[in-house]
Amino acid sequence: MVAQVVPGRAVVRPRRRLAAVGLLALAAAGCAPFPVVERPQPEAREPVPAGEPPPEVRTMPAPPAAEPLPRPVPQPAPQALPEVPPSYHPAGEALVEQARREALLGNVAAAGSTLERALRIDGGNPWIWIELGHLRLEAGQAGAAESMARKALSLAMTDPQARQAAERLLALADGGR
Amino acid sequence: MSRQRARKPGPGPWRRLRRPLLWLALAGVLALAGWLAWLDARITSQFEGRRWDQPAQVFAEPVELYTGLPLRIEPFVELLGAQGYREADGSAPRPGFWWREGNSVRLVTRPFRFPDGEQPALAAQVDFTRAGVGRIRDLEGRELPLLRLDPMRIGSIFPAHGEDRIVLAPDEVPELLEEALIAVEDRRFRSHPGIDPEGIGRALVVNLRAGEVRQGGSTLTQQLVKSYFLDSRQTLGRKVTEAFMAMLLERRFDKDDILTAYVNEVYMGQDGPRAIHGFGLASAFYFGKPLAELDPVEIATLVTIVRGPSYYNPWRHPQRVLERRDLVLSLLAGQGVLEPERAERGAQRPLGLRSADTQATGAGFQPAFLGLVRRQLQQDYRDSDLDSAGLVVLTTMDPLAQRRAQAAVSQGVAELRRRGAATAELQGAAVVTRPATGEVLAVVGGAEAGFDGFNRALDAHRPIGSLVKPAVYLAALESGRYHLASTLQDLPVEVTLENGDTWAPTNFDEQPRGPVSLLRGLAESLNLATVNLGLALGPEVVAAQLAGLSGEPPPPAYPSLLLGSVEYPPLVVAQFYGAIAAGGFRAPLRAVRAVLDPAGQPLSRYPVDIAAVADPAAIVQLQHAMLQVFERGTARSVAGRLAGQAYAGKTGTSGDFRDSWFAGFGRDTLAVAWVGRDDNAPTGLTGAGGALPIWADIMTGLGAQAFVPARADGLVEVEIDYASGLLARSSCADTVFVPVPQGVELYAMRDCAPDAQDLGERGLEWLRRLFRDGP
Repeated sequence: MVAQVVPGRAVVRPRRRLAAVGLLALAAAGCAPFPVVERPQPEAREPVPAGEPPPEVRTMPAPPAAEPLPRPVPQPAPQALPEVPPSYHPAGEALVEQARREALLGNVAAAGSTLERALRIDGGNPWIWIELGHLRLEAGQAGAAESMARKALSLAMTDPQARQAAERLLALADGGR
Repeated sequence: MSRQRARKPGPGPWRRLRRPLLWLALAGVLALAGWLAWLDARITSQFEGRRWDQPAQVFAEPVELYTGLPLRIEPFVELLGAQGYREADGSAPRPGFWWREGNSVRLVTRPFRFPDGEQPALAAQVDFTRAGVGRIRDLEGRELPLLRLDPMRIGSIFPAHGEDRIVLAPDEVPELLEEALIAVEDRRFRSHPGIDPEGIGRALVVNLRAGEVRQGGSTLTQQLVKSYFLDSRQTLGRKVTEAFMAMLLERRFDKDDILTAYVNEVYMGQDGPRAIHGFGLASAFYFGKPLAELDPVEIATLVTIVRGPSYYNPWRHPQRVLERRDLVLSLLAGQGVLEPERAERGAQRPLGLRSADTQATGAGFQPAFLGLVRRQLQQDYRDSDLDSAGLVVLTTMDPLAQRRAQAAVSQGVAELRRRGAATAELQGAAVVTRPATGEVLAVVGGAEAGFDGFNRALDAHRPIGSLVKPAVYLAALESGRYHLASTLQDLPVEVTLENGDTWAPTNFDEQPRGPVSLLRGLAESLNLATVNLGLALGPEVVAAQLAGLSGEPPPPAYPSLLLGSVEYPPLVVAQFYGAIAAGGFRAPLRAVRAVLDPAGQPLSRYPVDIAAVADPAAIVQLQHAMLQVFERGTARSVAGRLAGQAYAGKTGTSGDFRDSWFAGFGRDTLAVAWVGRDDNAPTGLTGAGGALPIWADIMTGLGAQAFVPARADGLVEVEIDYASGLLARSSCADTVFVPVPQGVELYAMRDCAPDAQDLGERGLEWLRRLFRDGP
């Protein structure tokens, strides 16, 4: 009577695909995202990673009340982060495990709905989005997989392993397009 | 012999009339046969057709319990009650029962067929702490990672003529109900041929003695026939037709079929436009639980109601119903259907109906949410599939959220209505979602719960006013030319429109602020700063941004768009703000998760879908500015009502105070509230004065967790003076910490500049906080 509903392909603007290449480049270079140190000259700029849109510099007009002093902004330096293993919700983890088993047994639909249960419990867990992305990829929905990889990346700022897994998914999704 | 002799004296007339009379009689017999055949066909098709006429049953999201869930024991018990779970009475544990021991609840769930498979009845113990769910064990003491309850039934999709029912199979009809119906309504049901002359005679005697109609002589079969044709006219002709049809029905079908049809068909009450038919739905409607879980006293109540659902309306005439119920109980005891002691004990009990509170806002009928469900399903299903094919629809509705949101809107609007003439006819609406996945948790279509009419959450297209501003500021932040510390000009501006008119917007208080930080421009919703910014970007850029976030077509790019001339219903605003809450990923809103056929096989699923629609770093900055709306901006009036939680959001007020909006979000929950008048007249309410307190009640009622902005590559945190955006120290300015893109050039406030040492430390402190706050 009714066909299975297929989610539409996500539209991703090419600008962000470039940004993703930039992220990959950053990761490959071992650049950590956070460290902050002060730089002496305002003109000093970090070399722009390949593909990253160059940060635009704008000279601000002086507000009348206070005469402004140009001031440098803290810049990140290539410095290793202390690795803090993030902890995710055990109930969410249990559902991710269950979904993996269901997917292995070929029950993709059940795995999908189990992962959505997991998202309701721990929406901040990037691994759930990564698993969902792989399910979409296997269903031939590379666009949806790519969106999910990006979502996982945005949640995995403190989980290098999840970041890597999300980047692998992103590469696979890009290859599958 | 005698016959011949008798004929002789009768000469002329009879002989002359014999022929025509015979023909007439033959014609009469033929007409009667034809009429009976017609009646037979009619009643048979009705009977067989109706047996399969099953509205789709709609279920809420099942409650999922797990360690750490911030649900305390009292709301949990309330939830169980709303779902028709009963406190155990000492009998053996059965599905649908719970009992409390100190801070623990033991319960047995009902079996349910989920799209991922059949879940049997589960017995478990849930231990609660002050914070929420402590741990969950099965009755052997093994720890369970989580426990999914059976979902609450929230309604059905019934046909346009308003008949709603839950159809039961013959083996689902409790034996006691059958026996009670026979004992009370039709004692000779098992033996009569469809009509019961003895019963009619008895009723006649009783009624003549009483001088009024006390007893009906109709059999159950006659009542069924009467119900099929929805005609309560008591003419003799109709009675005769009914009697013939009853006899025809009895000839074709057996007694059990007829009794089951009666149980499913009979009219049991009215709920607004919805007619409650059958004992299955009546059980849910009056007691909030399945028929199989009713005890003899509750069954006796339903057997009372069936006699005359409006005369015996248990909410309106409790005493009348109580008296008749006790009469039914003693009748059952007298006929040996129920032990006399149980009947006597039962007669002591109150009616035990679903409380008026849940009637209004709880387990019952949720027309506003069902309206969204129906709309989503109509894209894939025909009406006839939905209202008669017995489908099972699993939705995303959160029963507690729906209840709290409705209560917040009803109470909030009632309070505002007392303020005066302009608000006397105020209406309200709200939508609650989980933005990361696009699940709609609650839909409130108006101030009156249970009202199945104009659904304002879906259909009230209203100018969104300042709710549009986050799209303007996001467009600015995404352009790379602006950041939170940028300076905007909050100065008068005039725009010559295409038609030659001049558009000269003003601030809310008509005071230009001069140069302000971009952060302040949004937090305080400054019109002039926003229009100047939007004109510099181009309204078409803002229109495109809005289209990306909301999933709607881009609105016309007039300058007035910058102050929210675009009209959206609350549901679309929830989509728009959801994309901001979810870090720049738009998840199309869904109310339906899956549709199953009557056998429990999935027919269609509606899985989560997301699309990246905004730059993550720009979104993080925008989120920080929206947090400031509560700290220093237009929503600071409710800061004390939010239980110490930090949320992000935005007020909206349309021209002449016609619409009052608030949209905002916590970590996992987003709510949009709107108040205004259906005739679109001014209400005198701002977003902060009208919708904001309702929004705050929804969020605190849900216990929504605080919003923690996402993080993104390429941002660094700086301390700036809130008003000007200049780098400053907290000792000499009103400073805030905000993220800005690395590498942007900032200016320091004279005589209040942060020193280099300080900056370095701030950076480190920020780093430390990052890890302390980690997930």
